[in-house]
Parts: sequence; C-alpha cells; structure tokens
Amino acid sequence: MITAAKCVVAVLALASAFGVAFSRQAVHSALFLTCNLLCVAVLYLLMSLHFLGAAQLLVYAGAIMVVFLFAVTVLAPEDEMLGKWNDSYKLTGIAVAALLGACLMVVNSRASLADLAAPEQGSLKQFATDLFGKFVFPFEGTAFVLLVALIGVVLLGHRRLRDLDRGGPSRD
Amino acid sequence: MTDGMITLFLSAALFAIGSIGVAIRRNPLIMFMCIELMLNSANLALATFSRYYARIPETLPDSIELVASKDLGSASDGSIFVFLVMTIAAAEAVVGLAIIIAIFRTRKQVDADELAELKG
Repeated sequence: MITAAKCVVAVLALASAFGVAFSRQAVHSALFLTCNLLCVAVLYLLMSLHFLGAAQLLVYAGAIMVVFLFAVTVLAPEDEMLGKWNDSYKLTGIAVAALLGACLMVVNSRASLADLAAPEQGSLKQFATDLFGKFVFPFEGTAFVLLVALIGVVLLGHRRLRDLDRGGPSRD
Repeated sequence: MTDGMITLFLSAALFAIGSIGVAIRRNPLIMFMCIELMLNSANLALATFSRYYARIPETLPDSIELVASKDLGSASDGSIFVFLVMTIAAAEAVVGLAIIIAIFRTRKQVDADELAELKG
C-alpha cells in the first residue's frame, strides 16, 4: 500500500521536476517547483519522518516559494528571453546530466537498504532531545547563518549601496 | 526493490533533471529553481539513508565489525542533518534571490549569458 503510494508520488515528483526545468515561463516553473516540493514532503511523511515532512512544507513549500514567486513578479522578465535556451550548451548539458544521472543510479543501486520498521512514536522526542542536546552547536550556528543572511539581504536590497557609506539611508 | 530504493532512485533522477535545468536555461531565476531542486534531491537521499540505514548493526553485512557501538549515533541524526540543510537552503535562497534582483535593478535585464564581467 505504502509502496504503491510512494510510486505514484514519485512519478508526480518526476513529472513536476521536468516541468521546472523545461517550462517556458518562470511562473510555471515556480508552480511546478511547489508541486515537486509538496511531493517530496508527502514522501517524507510516507517514510514516517513526520517532522521532516512538516518542516519541508513550512520551510520550502511555504517560505521559499513565497520568496520565489515574489521575485518572479518583481523581475517580470521581458518576453523575448522567456523561451530562450542556452543553445550552445543544450547538447552538452543534457549529455553531462544524463551521465551524472546514470552514475548516481548505478551507485544508488548498490546501496543495501533494509526494510526497517517505522520509527516508533517517540521518534520526535528523540529528535528534539538530540537537536537541543548533541547538536545544539550546529543548531545555534544556523541561527547565526540566518542572521548573517538577513543582514546581507538588507544590504543588497538597499536602494543605493553608496548611501550606506555616507552614513545612512537616502531619504527620497 | 525495497521501499527505500524508490526514493533513492527518485533523488538521483531529480538531481540529474536539476543539473539539466542549470545547464540549458538562461533565465537565472529558473536556474536558481533548478539548484533548489538539486538541493532538495540531496536532502531526499539523506533522509532515505537515515530512515533505512538508521539502526546500522541490523543492516551491516556480516563481514564488517564495529569498533564501538557508541559510534553509531541515534536514529534521528539523519533527520537533524536534513533539518539543518533545509535551514541553510532557506538562507541561501533568500541571498541568491536578493542578488538576482540587485542585478536586475542595475542591468534592467537578466540573462545568464550576458553577465560575463568576471571573465576579465
């Protein structure tokens, strides 16, 4: 039952991934990417990794997609470049990607995975204990990284970077 | 084919499709979305391994002996790694989009082939 569900969701994820890479419009790519991330969240849930499924929904399908859609609307790229592909790299890109995919498939097919029982109900408790116990320093490190990213984005989004050197934002 | 192989092969395929997108598209936004796709597929592989490889002593081949059982870590370690990677991916997406918008504001057009100043 779960295997069948996984197969269906995997096919959906593959189709939407093709949609991301080959859509003509950026908005369609963004919507296909949302579909793909939702499919991956469902896969996490089917693997009984409940926290990861929830985090995937909140972080990727929620937060990141909003930023992407916002960027798509702000940019509104001109029509003539929408459908353009990088023709000189088209064959090379597809060949290299096919090679990469084949290599990954071969390597992955050698993995010996066991059909383990699903983690028991207390896995979230274990997760939280480890996150705030053994891995508390990496966790705090991500907080620092997010702060740095926030400051960087504020700087990048500033109207004129030169104004910051003169000691303050422009008032216009 | 076990349950875990489905997601493992899916992650390989998603990574390949994402790399196609990065190589052949010219719109930086779509290239960026494909990079997100690749990151996400790596996450999927990591989660799959952590889920189906978690209790290692049961899954190891007989020929391998463990030095100490405390080296193994617990079953939730992989989930924590994936969670941390997700956080970093969020930061990376925000900074990347801000850079793309900043480029768009100064150049009035976004085309990955036109941005070649660093070539020298």
